[in-house]
Amino acid sequence: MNAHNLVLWAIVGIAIIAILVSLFLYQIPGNIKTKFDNVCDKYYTLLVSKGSLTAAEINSLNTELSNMNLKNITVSVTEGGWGEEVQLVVNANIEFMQVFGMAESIPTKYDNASISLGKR
Amino acid sequence: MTTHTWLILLFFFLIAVVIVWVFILDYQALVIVRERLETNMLAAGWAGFSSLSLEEIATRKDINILDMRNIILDKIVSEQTTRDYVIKNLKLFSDGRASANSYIADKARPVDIDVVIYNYNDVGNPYPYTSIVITVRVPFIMGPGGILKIYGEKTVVANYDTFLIQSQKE
Repeated sequence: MNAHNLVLWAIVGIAIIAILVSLFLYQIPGNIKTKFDNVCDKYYTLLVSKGSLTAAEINSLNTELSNMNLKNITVSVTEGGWGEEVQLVVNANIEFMQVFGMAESIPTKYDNASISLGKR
Repeated sequence: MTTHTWLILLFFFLIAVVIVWVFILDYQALVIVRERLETNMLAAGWAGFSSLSLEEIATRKDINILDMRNIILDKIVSEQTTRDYVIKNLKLFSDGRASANSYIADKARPVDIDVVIYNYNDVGNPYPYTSIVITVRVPFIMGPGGILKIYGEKTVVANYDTFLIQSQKE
């Protein structure tokens, strides 16, 4: 194998590894999204059952999401008494590393509405 | 074989890998959509629980009997409320097609929604409590260029048990 072929195969090898690693890394946001929804679900059922979320509960939701390395978290709560509409909207950015250390940021959203089953 | 032949074979191999991976990623997206559907459908189910049949509840004579404390829903109102909130949470148009804001990728084909209400004392109720059973059939596109068009079905049961499970998620 001459030097020309060696360089060619090295480039091909790096390209293959980069493509495979990149495809693998693209699965990460999906897993984080599922966990994000699970955390939001927990606070959402609280909202439905009570009609409201306390400041401490909203802080706790923020902390749990921050611990998952989510960025730019915004929480919006529509409160309501029995029979009124309640809604929880959470926006955040899922940040993860791509090949060659490139950072990727994907926005994600939780948006659920229902009718309150508890008094405010 | 010459280097060029190997490179050509490698090129086709990589194309095959990418095509297979697109299907794998689409399948993962399908799993995520199913999870999100569950969340949205259960929320719609809780909305349905606000439609109590006060007339029937008022006919109860002995509240010391545990069964008598179960919820009785107005089936017609509850079904409509549940259906309305499935449409709202999935961000659908009234004809069932997904709007631009919906996470359902296939905007052309409609989502089918089926809601069944079981009061606790209904004959044939498969659950120990009053329950709202929601089934949706969601259009989904898979593969490079959306070559494969399928429908995915998801059923959730909103009742006392599922409320407890959802409130204790980690």
